[in-house]
Amino acid sequence: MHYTSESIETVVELFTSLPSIGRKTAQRLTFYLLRQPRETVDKFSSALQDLKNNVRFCSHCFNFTEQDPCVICTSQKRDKSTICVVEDPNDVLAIEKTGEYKGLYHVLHGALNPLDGIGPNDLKIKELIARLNTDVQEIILALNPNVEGEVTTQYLAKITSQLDIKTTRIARGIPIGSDLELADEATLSRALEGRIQL
Amino acid sequence: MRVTTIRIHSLRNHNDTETDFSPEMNIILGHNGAGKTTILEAISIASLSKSFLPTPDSLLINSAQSKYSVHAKAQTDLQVPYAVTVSFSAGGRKHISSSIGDSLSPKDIIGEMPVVVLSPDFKAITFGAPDDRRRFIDALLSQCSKRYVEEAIALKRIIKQRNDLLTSAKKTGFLDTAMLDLWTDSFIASAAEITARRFVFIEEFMPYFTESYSRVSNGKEMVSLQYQAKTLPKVTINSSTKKNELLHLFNDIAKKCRNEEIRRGTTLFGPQKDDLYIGIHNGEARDYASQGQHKSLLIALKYAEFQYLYAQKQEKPILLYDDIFSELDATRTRNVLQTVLETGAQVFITATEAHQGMKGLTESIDKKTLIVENGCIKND
Ligand SMILES: [Zn+2]
Repeated sequence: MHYTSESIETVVELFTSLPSIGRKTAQRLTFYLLRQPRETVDKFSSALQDLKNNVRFCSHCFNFTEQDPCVICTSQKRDKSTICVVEDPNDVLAIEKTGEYKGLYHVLHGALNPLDGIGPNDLKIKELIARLNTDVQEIILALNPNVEGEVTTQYLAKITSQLDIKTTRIARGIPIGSDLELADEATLSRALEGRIQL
Repeated sequence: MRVTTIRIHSLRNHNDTETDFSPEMNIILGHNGAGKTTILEAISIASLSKSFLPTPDSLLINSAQSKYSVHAKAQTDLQVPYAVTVSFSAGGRKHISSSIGDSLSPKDIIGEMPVVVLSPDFKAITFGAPDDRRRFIDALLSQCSKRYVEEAIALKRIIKQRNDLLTSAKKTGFLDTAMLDLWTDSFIASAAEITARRFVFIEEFMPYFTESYSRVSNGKEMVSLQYQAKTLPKVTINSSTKKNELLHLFNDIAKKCRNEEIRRGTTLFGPQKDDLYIGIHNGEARDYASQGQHKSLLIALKYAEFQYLYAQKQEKPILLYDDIFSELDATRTRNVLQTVLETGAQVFITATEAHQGMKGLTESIDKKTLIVENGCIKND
């Protein structure tokens, strides 16, 4: 089914090309915008322009930023001796929300994945190694708990062990605030395996 | 565990079927193609997130519709209510929610409502190929342990990734050896985990099976089970082999296979090649069992599955018996059915007509007979 207006059709198609948006949702969004006052729509289009014009990678940590280096990398309050390695910018956001981590980050922009044709050169790994000067005392690997994240963790651990830098990984365990008896048994079984001495 | 009610939308020829069940015996009667088995499939979907038949989800959707859904209400042995909804839209993902939460994945519901299915479709376990037997092991272990489900999914994914490296090496002539080593290490860790768990499982399962077989065959014959790690040296391993030793053995094999793997562009060792040896007195069942023995073996395996799952989960599995009287053997099944009913488990049986085999069994228990015609229940 196509619309008589080519402009409508173009916007619907653009929305459809976004992740997890189907044609029905795309149509709903398009008609919603069409019914809004001009200012609202202008706000959208200029915000999208700004997004592309102003946002770039931080040349240190490769998180998205408007100023380079980013606010985290330049902050006097951050501990420059620790780097937490994550797969993508959303992970930085998640860890920042805890308010507990005071070190720096490094965003790889993915994980090793032969099926998607992603090898070490497609990730910001060289850039990570370049950052490992004498100031850096610990690398924390916080990659996703799946097959690709695990293999990438092993790959990075091999490199950092050759460089003689203390390397740790985040624990896979029971989320705080949830009852032990409610934890899914797979999580519980991994948490038992990863137990630590007191 | 007991299913109390089920609601089925657009699943095969069932447009909108809702019914409640007897807590004990449910007999589903109807002609071939009437939609009897679909009721069992719906219970399977509520329990395992998929049908016990190999039909893909897209073909389970009623041809006039774009989505099927199954909603089941159940009760644990301790009377705790449990509800689950599984739906699937053509071209989309499966949506699963249950008493545990929303937006669940299959592993979150597998094992919550344990089920044992005996269908003529499973005859391949005793005389089919090794992967028919591996599927039997994987399906049963998955209901026992969510950790096993995770490990099995990871193993599959790692093999896919590793094979992709090997095939592209074969195609392009270029191999990133560091990458291959990395994925090989990861594969070996996963392979050792799965192998160790399967060995231990078969050792635990074997007494259930021998006991069950002697019940089915009136104690005349001896049977045995043995997990065969086809790509590892036979003499060195058994169920007490530690994971570290398995890692070691797999490492040796990996080194030996390496060139051949690169030449062929595929993984040549690991638990995805293994088999389960089912032995009768004169040899391997696949080669030596008679028709009658095959039937007894299958009935016994499934009864052992019921007992094992019950012991592991401390929850009586629901039994789905699909068309056992015409395809399997009424007299052989009878003993087992009687025992199952005595445990108080909930049973579902489909048949084309009220069968001789059911007579006499059903007098002291609560039962309900459903007559299915053209995807509708006629007598509800
Ligand atoms: Zn930065």
